[in-house]
Amino acid sequence: MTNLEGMNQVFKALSDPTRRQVLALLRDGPLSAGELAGHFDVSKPTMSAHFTILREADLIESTRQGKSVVYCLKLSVLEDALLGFTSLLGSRLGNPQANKKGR
Amino acid sequence: MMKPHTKTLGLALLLAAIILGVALVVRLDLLAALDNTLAQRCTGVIAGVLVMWFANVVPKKISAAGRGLATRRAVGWTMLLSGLGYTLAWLWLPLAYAADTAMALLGTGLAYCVWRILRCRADRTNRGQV
Repeated sequence: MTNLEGMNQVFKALSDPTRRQVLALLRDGPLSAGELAGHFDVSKPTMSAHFTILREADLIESTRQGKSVVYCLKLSVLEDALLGFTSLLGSRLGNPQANKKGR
Repeated sequence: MMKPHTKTLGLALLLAAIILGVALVVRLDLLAALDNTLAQRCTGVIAGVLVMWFANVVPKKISAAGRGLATRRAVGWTMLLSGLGYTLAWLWLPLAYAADTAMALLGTGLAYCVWRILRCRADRTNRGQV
């Protein structure tokens, strides 16, 4: 089913903290691939793979402006809510101290 | 994997079945058997769900290369929550208050969206980006 495949791609895209961070950065406005890559300590091919997964999940769209590729957010309200939820869950699970403080 | 035209054809058949089904219900006067208030509530709930459905996809479909991103998000969220309020009002409030409350919620949400869109346009005009 096409819809189920789409949902799988969205969940796969949101499962990675780097990709969630990319989406969080794009919430403030469009950014070029270089600007986005500058925020992360990963190689260019890895970053490019992240962008591909996000684009295939239809969560971002890219436009070419001169020599650079500019990415901007393309989220439905439910995807936006899902991103917020997974970010919250991911940060709490990834930071045991925060879990202890929360209790 | 389902082909795009097969999916479109399936959707068209589903819509045709719904239209024929509704026509049959009206023709056979099946709604007369139902309580009038239930029919009113069902109509309200369906309208609310439709508002939520469209509000959900609006920020994704109206994509203008990142322009007015914050406004699109705000409009989508506002209309989805207004639709949710509309649906819940029709579901749970006494019928005497349901219509007024639901319309007030939807109207407030719509007014806020119009204000956000106008403000976004004014900002862009001031920056000479129209």
